[in-house]
Amino acid sequence: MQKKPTYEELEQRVKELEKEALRRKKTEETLEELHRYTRELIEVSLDPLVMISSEGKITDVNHATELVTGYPRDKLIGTRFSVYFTEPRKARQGYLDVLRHGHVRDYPLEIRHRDGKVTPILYNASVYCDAKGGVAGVFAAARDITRRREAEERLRKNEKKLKAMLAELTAKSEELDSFVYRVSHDLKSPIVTIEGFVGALKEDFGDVLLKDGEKYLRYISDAARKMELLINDLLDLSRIERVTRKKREFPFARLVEDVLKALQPQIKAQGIVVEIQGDLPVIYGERRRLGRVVDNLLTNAIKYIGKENPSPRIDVGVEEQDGQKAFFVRDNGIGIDERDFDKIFQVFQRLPSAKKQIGEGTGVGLTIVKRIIEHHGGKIWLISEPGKGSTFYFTLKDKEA
Amino acid sequence: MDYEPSNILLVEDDEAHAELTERAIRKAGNANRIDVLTDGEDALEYVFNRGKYADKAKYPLPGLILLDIKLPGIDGIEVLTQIKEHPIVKKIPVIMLTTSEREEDICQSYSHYANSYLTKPVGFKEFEEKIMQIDFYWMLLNKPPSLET
Repeated sequence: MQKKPTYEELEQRVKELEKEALRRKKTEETLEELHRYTRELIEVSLDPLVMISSEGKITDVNHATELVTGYPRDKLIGTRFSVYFTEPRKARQGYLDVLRHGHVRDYPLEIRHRDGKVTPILYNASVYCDAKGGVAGVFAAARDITRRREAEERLRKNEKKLKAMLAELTAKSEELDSFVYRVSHDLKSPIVTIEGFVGALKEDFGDVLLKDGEKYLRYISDAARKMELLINDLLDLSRIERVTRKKREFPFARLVEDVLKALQPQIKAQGIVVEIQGDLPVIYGERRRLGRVVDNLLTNAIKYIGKENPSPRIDVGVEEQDGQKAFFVRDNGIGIDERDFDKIFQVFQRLPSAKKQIGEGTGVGLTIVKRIIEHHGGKIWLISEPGKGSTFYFTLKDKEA
Repeated sequence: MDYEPSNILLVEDDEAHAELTERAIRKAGNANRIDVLTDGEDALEYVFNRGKYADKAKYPLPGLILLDIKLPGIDGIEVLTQIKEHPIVKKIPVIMLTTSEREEDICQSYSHYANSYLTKPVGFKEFEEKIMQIDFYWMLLNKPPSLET
């Protein structure tokens, strides 16, 4: 027979039960708190989150999933997850990948809203396991990439537009060059005639032409010559972009020497001292055209050395500027005002001071020089001061390895 | 086929250039006869003895053809092409004589078997000298082909 508990014992028992109840309540509260916390964490996400069972059925979703599919939570839960995608087969493949590898990263899919709107997304998903370590299902987070897609699309469109504009510009420039070229040829033809018949006239009727007649013929002939020079320069200018000749490596010093040889008469006549730096490097480019650059710069240096210059001098060399080789032609001639620095590279621009000193030129020379240098991927610039002289610098691209 | 190796055919639409050229050839004095035509169609009728040039005795094949590229109607390249496609006429040396220095024109001319490509120089003396050199080379130094074999 069991002994009847005493009153004290009963009281003790009740107290313990109360304590137990309190502990349970607390645990329940903690659990509830934890649940709310997890829920809110899931709901706060802007990315649609989906829990999928190992049978491929939806077990939980957040609000973002409701928004992107257009179905309420209770309609989603229990259905097959793959039916909400434009490509259910691909979605299932992704799911199988998660089961096989434990996760997938940035798996591209498209979710279809019940009203038909399609949202491009990237899926990141992992398996989640139960307490015993068995696979309980898949936890999947979708990243809406509509904005990114739109941005990419805009970028692509802009790129396309830019390319079209570039093509149009290139075509226009080519058209212009080809126009200049054709016009130049058609202009050359009448000059052949003018020169030809001035000559024929002199030969056949020279004895009946008076002194003035001969002078007039000389004027005509000189004008035709000038026009010929101009046409040849224009032809060269238009050819730079259209025709690319073979580039090769050669010593810069040799190029300078070759050009100077042809200029010796003028150099001697004006008593100019020309210094070429000793250790000039090998350069890479179209030799004939770079020869034209050097020729033009040297010819200008000689032309504008100044008639009253007591010790005319030209230096050719190379300097290190911003880690690049800057080749230079320096003179102590009449110099150029800074405000004219840009002007001198423009076609047909001749400075009044130059005209006064030298007389007529074609006004195309430095434009050709600039185009050749730019065609070689280089830059040309100058520093100058009136009365002190000018230094023209240019860079060239190294041979690509 | 009637053939006169010391005759020259000049195809040139610019009257002034034609006269300058003719003048220089006459000065050189090696050619027997110079015929000048001003368009491509006439040139083709002439070398193939068609139309108004059907009389073979009157218009024998020349020993040299000087051909401009820019011609009204049928241009120089087309004339050249047709000449060089003909089994007999193709043997006659054709020299392109033009103001054009276009690489495209030069390339096309040689592609269609031009025998030489020369540009008209600017300047009376230069022009005359060049034409006289052409005349000297092709009329005297160069050995013309026989059209029989």
